[in-house]
Amino acid sequence: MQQQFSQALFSTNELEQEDLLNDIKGHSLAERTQRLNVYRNNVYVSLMDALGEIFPVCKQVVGDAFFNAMARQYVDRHPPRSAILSEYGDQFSEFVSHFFAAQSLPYLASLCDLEYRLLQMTHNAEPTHLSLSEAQQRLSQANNPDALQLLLYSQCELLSYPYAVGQLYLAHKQPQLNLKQLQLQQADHLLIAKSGLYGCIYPLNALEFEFIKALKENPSLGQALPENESFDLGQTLAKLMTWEVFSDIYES
Amino acid sequence: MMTFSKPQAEGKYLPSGFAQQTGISLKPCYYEQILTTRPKVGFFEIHAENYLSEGGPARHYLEEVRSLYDITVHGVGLSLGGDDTLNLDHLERVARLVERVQPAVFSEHLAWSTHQQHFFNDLLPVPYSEDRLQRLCEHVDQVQARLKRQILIENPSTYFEFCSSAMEETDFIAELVKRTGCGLLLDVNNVDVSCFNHQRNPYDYLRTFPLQAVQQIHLAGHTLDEKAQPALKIDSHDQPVTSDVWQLYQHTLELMGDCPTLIERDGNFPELSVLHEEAVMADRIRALVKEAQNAAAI
Repeated sequence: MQQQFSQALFSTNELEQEDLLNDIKGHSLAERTQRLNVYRNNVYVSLMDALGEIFPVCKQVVGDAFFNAMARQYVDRHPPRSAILSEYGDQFSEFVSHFFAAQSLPYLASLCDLEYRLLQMTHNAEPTHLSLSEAQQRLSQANNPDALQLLLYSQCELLSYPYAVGQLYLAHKQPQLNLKQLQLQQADHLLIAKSGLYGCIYPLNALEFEFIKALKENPSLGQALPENESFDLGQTLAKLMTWEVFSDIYES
Repeated sequence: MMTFSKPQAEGKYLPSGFAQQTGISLKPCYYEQILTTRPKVGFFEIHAENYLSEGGPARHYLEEVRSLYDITVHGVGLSLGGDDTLNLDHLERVARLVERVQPAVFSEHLAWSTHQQHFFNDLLPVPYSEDRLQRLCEHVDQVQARLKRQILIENPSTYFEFCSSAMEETDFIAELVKRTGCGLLLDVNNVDVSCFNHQRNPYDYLRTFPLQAVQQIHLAGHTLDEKAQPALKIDSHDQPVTSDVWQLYQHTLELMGDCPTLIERDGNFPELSVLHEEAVMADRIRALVKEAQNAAAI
């Protein structure tokens, strides 16, 4: 029965619904179909709403009607595999990248990828990290900068997108939305990390991105420094300390 | 059949507000206000599946609210009425939540929501047949064994009935209680919705419902789809409790005596004070019924 029911929920083909409809009480086929449709509607609407909550900026960017059309097709092709809906949508970005009607918005898939990662970051356990004052103290006590080991907590993620979706996301979170100065065609380098209870986006320039990437691979400050005079180490360290993404700082 | 003691509200938390005063659904839009204003309600109820993450605001605020109030945990994703075996990873996560929160009660549904690893996010109906009952009992036994406590099963709201059902819903539920030792969560709104949708009398339904096993009541609002032929009530949880449901609630208490009650809301959220007023209304009805029953006993 549940095999038939599952098929009927995702099909408008009357033949595929026939066995189930024959087992539903009702005076007419129209009545039995209407009763079944309450469940179908509940399933689609609740899952489309869930996707709207997981990808709120994407929904805001494309509008409700466009988003719901995309979400409905996604629900058809990728129904959730878990009852924990905050984990739903892991393939949405990939799906959006192939969604024909979204081809004129080439940044949309990257935006969805960012939104999904941010939400998962929010639901991650709060990491153990050095507070700003702890990090400042460790740095001030260092005698040999070349021997400094700067460890970032493992959950913080470096992301690089071909479009300025971090800027777009942040612009949509401002009370006064101002998209005029946004250059969407620029690449975006981002660090996402936990700020208190929530996942948070920190924009980076290309040298900062390179430096943090090197630190994540090898925490030795001496080895992570980019060979580029325009890299501002002091400012970058100040940002990382303020964002509280260090799990440890020590001299080897 | 395994035997379980009734859930205890004693321990490191407050004495049971659950038994004394009506509770409200815990939703993110109310977190800050609850902690600031500490409304006088008996408890808060959470959906288990919204509180299974390792961190973030849900986990944080649940801990804060738990330090002040009793909590009840309502599962919506175990798919107890499903053909499939239970998802053990999911059960394990729910069990860890229950161990952490120590709720006054844990409840789930007489429904299924997962088939072949696809989760439908709705509470889908089961035919009332012997083989379905047996499968459901196995799943309830399995959950009670893992959680090491009695669980409550909620009567469903349904939009159709199966021709293949071989017994009445109330008989099916009574047999479930008998075989598993589970308790029941009586959703009075579901009684109203299902009976309307199947042209049955809700008062007759209650007369045959195994009320002696009921340990919690849910009250919620529904919407009416008048365009449907016949018209259907939809269990939307996004409206105030209707006068029909309030009357049915009073009648239920007159039949079974006092019972811990929840004002359940899952959408179209009003000010917290509006839900609090509904909880106060439920408490007023509880007090009136108790008074009348005490007077009759003298």
